[in-house]
Amino acid sequence: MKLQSIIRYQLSDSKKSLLIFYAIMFSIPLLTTTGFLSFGSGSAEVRGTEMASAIFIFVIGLNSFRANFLFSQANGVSRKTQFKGFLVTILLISGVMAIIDAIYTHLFSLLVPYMSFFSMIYGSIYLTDSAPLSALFGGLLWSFFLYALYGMFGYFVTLVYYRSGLIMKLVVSIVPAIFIFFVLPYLAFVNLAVSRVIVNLTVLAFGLGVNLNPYQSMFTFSLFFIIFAIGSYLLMRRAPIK
Amino acid sequence: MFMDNSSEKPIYVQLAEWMMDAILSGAFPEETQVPSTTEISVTYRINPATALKGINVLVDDAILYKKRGLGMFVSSGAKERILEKRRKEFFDSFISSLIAEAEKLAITKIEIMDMIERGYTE
Amino acid sequence: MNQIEIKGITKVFGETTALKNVTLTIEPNKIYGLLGRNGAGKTTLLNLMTNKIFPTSGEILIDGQNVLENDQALSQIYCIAETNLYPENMKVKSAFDWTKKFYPDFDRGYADMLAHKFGLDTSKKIKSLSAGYNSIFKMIIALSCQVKILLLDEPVLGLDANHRDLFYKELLSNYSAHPKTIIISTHLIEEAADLLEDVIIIKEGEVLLVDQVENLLSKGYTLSGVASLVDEYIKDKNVLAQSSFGGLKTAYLLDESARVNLPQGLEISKLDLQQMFIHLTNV
Repeated sequence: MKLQSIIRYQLSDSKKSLLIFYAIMFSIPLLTTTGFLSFGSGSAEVRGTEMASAIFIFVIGLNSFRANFLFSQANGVSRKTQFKGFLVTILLISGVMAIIDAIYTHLFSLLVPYMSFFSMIYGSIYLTDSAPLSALFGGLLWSFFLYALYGMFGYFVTLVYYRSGLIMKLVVSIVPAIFIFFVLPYLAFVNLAVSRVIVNLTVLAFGLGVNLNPYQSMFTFSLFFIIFAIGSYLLMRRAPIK
Repeated sequence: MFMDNSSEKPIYVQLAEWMMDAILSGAFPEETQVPSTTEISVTYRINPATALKGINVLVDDAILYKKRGLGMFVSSGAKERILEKRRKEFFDSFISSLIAEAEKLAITKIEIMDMIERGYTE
Repeated sequence: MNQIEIKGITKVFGETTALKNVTLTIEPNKIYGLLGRNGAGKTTLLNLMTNKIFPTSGEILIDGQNVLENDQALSQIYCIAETNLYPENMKVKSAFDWTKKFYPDFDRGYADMLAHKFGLDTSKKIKSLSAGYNSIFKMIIALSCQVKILLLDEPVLGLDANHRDLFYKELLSNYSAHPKTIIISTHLIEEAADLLEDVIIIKEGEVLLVDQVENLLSKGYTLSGVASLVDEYIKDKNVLAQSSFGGLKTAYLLDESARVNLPQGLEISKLDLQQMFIHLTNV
C-alpha cells in the first residue's frame, strides 16, 4: 500500500522534469533539420544523446532522496519501503527513457545523420541482415542498464552527502577529484604496468575486445548498479531526519 | 462560563455545581435534556473524561438520568433534591467559615446576630 | 488498542544525552500533555516514537510492535513536527491528495471543511503560508487522517487566540467522535491544561512525573502567611519552592497528606498546572 503510493509519488515528482527534458531533446534535431538552428559548418549532426539522458537521470537520482525522505517520514513510510520505491521508480524511468531514446534514435536517424552512442561503440557488429532490429534492441537494453546505473549512482552520491558531516563532505568531494585528475593520470602515464591493467580492465568491462560485446558492459553496469544500491541502502537504513 | 481557574475545586465539581445552578434557575427544567458531555467538552474546552465525571456526580445523586440512545435528562424532583443538598451544605460552607472569620476579627456572637438582622432589614 | 510502550529509551546526540533511560506507558484513547522546558527532550521523544530518528538504546512498541522501520506501526501514527517535511512547492490541496494515498482513511471532506473554518486557502503553496497557517495546515492533516495516535508538537505555534480556541474545540470534537491517543507537547500550559487527562513532565531528558492532571492538581497548593507558621507547617511536607516577602512566606507544595489543622493566619490557595510546572522544572 505505502510502497505503491511512494512509487506513484516519486514518479509524479520526476514527471515534469522528464517532460521538459524530452521537449528539449526532440526540439534540437527538429530545429536543426528545419534550419532554425545551425551548427557552424552547416552539416548538422546529432550524436550520442544517451549521454544526455544518462546525465539527466543522474540528476534525477541526485534529487530523489532528501525531499522524498522528509515527505515519506511525514507520511509514515519506512526507509526500507522508500528505498524499494526508489528502486522500482528508477528502473521504470530508465525503462521508459530507454524506449523513448530507442524511438528517438530510429526516428532521427531517418531524418538527419544521427548516431547513437551505442552504435558509435558497438555499431560495427550490427552490419548483418537482421541488423536494424537487433541493433535497436541491443541499444535499448544497453541504455536501460546505463541509465539505471546513473540514476542509482546519483542516489548514492546524494545519500553520501546526506549522511556526512561537513568535513566528510569535503573529503568525499575532493578525494575522487584528486584520484581522477592526479592519481589516475600519474599511474597511467608513469607506471606502464598499471596503465596496462587499467586498459585491460576497461576492455573487459565494456566488452571492447576483438569481439565487441555490449552484453559485457551491460553486466558491468548492473554489477555497479547493485554495488551502489547496496551502498545506498546501508547509508539509508539508519538515516535520521535532519 | 462555569470555570474559575483560580478556584481550588476540581473542574468536574465546578461543572456539577454549574449544572445544579442551571437546574435551580430553571434553565434546564425537569424532564428536559441537558447538553451532552461532548457538547460540554467542546464548548468549555475541557477533557471529555472530566465532563463525564461531572455529569456522573449528578447521575449518582439522581439529579440527572440517562435515557438510552437519547442522552441525559433532568430527573423529576431534581430541583427539590438540589435544594435539600444545598441546605445541608449551607452550614459547612457558610456558617462555619463565617464563625471562623468572625473569630479572626474578634467579632462576638451577639454582634454577628445583629449583623444578620441588619442584613435582612437593608 | 493503541498503546505505546517506551522501554528504557536513551538517545545521545554527539556529546549531549537528550533522553536518559525513559520508560513510559501511554494508555490508549487518552489526551496526554507532554511538558518540559526547551531542550528537555520532548521533540526527541516524539521523533523517536515515529522513528524519524533511532534510539541509542531501548525500544518503543505500538501495540506490542517495535516502531523501527515498521510501516504498519507507523501508519497508525501521525506526528505534527515543528520542521516542515512537505516539499516546498507542493500546494495545500495536493498535500491533501497525497495524504489520502498514504492514509486511506484520510477524510477529505472534513479537511476541506476545516480549511474553510480556519480560512486556509488550499490553492496556496505550502512554502507561501505564514507560520500560523503552516501550523493550521499541519493540524488539519493530523485531524483528518483518522489515525489511532496523534502526536502534536507545538500544534498552536503562531496561531492567534481565536484560531487557538477553534483548534482546541475542533480537537476535542474530533476526539469525542473518534477516540484516539493524543499527545500534545506545548509551552502554552495554561490554555491547554483543561484539555489534558494525563500529563508527562520531563526535565533534562528524564521523566519527572506521569500523573492524571486532576490527581496532580489535587496534590498541589500554595500556602502563605507568617514565615514562622509556614515553616512549621511545611517541615514534613513535600515543598516544591518557597519565597519570602518581608515576614511573610509563600510555599508551593505537592503533597498528598490532608490539609488538616491549618493554623490560624495561614492561607491556602490553588496551585495550577502551569505554576506547578514552573516550580517543578526550575533549576
